[in-house]
Amino acid sequence: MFLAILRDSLEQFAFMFSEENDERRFADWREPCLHVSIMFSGGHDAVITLTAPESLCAEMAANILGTEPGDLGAEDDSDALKELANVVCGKLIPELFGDRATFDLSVPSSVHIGEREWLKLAEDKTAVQLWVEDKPMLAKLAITGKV
Amino acid sequence: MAFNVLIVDDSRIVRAVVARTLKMAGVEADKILEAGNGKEALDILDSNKVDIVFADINMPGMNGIEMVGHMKEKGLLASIPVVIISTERSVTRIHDLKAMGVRDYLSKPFTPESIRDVVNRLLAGKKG
Repeated sequence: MFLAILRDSLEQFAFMFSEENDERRFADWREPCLHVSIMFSGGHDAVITLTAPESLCAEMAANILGTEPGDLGAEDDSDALKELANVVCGKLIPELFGDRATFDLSVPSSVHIGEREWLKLAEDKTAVQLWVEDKPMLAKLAITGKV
Repeated sequence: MAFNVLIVDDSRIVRAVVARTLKMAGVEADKILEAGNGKEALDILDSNKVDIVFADINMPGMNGIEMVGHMKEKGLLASIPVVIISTERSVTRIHDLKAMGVRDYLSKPFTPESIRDVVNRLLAGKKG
């Protein structure tokens, strides 16, 4: 369900199409990345993380605003991935817990990560791996407990 | 009659998307004002004529729900309709917001048609 919602959100919000991982190795990708987290708490506590190369975030921001990659600033690139996480979170909660469930969502946060952190995330078997416009994206939903 | 729009969201890209979607929908506002959180929005409302507010819920500093509460205390909700634009879809949340005085609710991602319908409905008689 998480994967379907992520792919659907990419299409609707960023006009980007994705495919699930093929034989290409995520660990081989070499590029600075952005790592975004959003938490929600209520009946359960959970965190959604999205990680993508900075160049993919730039394409996403340009798609959303109908401009060319490079026309926008780094803050917009980060905002694009954060907002995608926000959209995924908003769609996921009613699917998981029903449309009457009320959760408090955190403001999404982002950090830049390098090769070492990317490799570690790429080896996480619980993360979803997607190719978006031929660039990798890692996504993870971790439900940490019931309150 | 000209009208002014205030867009409240901590994400610059979302503010830009809302502004662009308003234009795509054929909504020709005289002025589009922007705020990064509820506090900034209240400051803008103090010194500008605003006819409709589009606001997110989750923002740092002062969130959209707190902003609506302050607007209600100041008696602004009767004259300035607030439309929440959020990823949250809980019917309980939407019910609570409407009980506070929020006039409408749009889920992200939204369409130009949904924005146009809301503006036409809430600003009937003001647009010209």
